[in-house]
Amino acid sequence: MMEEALGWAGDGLPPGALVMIKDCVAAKGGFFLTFFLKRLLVPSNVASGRSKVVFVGMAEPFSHYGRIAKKQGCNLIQARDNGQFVFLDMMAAGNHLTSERRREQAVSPLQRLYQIVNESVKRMQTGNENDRVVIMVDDASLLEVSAGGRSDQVLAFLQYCRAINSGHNRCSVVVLVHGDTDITYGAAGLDNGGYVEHGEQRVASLAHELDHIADVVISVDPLSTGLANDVHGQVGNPNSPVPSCGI
Amino acid sequence: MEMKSGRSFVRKGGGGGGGGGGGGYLQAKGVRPGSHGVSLVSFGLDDVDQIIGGGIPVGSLVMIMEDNEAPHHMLLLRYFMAQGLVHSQPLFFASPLPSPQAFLGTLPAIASVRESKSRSMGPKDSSGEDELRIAWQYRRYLSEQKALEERRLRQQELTASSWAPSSSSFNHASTAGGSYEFCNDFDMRKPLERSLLIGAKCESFASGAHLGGLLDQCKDFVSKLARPPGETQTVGRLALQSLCAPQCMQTCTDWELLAFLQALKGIVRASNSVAVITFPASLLRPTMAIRWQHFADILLSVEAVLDEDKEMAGMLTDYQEIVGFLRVHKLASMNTQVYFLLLFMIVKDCT
Repeated sequence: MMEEALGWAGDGLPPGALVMIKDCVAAKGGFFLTFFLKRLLVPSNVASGRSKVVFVGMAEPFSHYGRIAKKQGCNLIQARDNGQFVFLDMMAAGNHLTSERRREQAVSPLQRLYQIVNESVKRMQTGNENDRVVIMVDDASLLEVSAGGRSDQVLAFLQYCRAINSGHNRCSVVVLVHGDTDITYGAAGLDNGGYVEHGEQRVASLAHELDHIADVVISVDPLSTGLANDVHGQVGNPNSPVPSCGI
Repeated sequence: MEMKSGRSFVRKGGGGGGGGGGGGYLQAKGVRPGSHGVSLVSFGLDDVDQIIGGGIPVGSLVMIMEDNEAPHHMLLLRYFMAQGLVHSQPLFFASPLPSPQAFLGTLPAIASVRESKSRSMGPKDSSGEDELRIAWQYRRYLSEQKALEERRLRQQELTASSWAPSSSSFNHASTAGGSYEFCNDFDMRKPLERSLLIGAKCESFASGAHLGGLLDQCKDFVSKLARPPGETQTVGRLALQSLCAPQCMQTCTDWELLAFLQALKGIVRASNSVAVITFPASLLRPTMAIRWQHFADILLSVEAVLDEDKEMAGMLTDYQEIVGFLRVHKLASMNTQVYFLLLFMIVKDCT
């Protein structure tokens, strides 16, 4: 059902596509990433090729995704051993973004990260011209923190990732970003439970800018009517005519 | 699954236990297995434990948004820290207080069994009033505690059917060396034994927080927790109070503080520790406050209650005893996608 809403063809993401998942404090969008992982690494029909995935993990360690994917029938450890899946663990101490060495170098942390992603993609190439590589980022707001608040650096990083060539095709990028960090007034979380109300002033922010360049925008929101046992929130795709589905 | 209405007692000398076979579950004092392969430690308050799903998952970050006017977050910190020290879990406490060591002197002691029994039998006479050290309406609690107990039991009956605890079936986990309670009953009137305070390390950032140094201290603290496999593991507790207080902000920028949080979360996730961070959210810019909230695995907020609020008094029967509300915004979803989001207003009263 979600595939129909996204207008997904059976053979993976279109090359060069940028898919943005926008979530908020009340409704986390991390589940979409595991959904994408499963669809990309475990194709439903044999004829379609397998995509390869480079995952930049900043919010959770590998074990988190591994466990969830296992319950959904996708073995990330096996995919990692096969070379189909590369996990860049940015939470571990001494990682490429926060290690001491980077302060002495002239390049910014995101430039270094781009180099690492580029190398990973190149290493994954098998010579098959129809290979597709997808770069997934969890999440872009943490990239912004690593860049010291420079959202332009994060945008540049994502655009560069999109331009990496693997065989004939450019890489596609799936990125999770927090959509509620751009309000300027109102102590959210104390008065209104963290929900952003209409009419509040917004400043240009990473989510806003990504909105313009993304091909597909998926927004994850809590239900406006409150809480329910079975339905945790709603998912919207502003570009498509299909109405949003409850999850 | 039946829900236990009391504390979880451990069988004396029992070997192995319910969580022994599970991969990844910690065998340590004060730790019990939760669902999805995470181990839980107690917050120190039974009610809070139940609401957050049995306890705080090891490796998670609990963030508490403070109220501007009332220091109720300190009360929560007291329970958290006291529970850790009682279970011999190393503690690291950083605060803008000039002397955090003095705050440790206000941690509560475990309520003796005799006292908790007499509480359930009926209100005590007022012989202990001279020893009262706190300024809240404790006397009213003593005289009306029966009503509270009844209400609590009623509430537990109501929630027992709708809430399926994953931890109640794992009450038999034990470590070598006798029985202990996962979550103790604390008595705010008595200070914790001094001998237990040895496991606590304090740090003050009254003169401005040097974030690099603070992060190094946290890393150091956490690295000492690692034990070779085969030895009894231990879980460490980090308590950072009022992290974005003005004393802290005078030496660092918003983004540097976020980077510190990011690094701290990475350290805590990769080790056997839990961190509780309280912060005055209203002092941050809204966009920053939201980013802080995103970092939390468990997000709580404390709100004080006005002294003379006629509407509230009409709505709640024991309004006079309530000092504040605890609101749960977000619960942990480690190793899982399913999470509970309870915008739950529970009554918190001092004990």
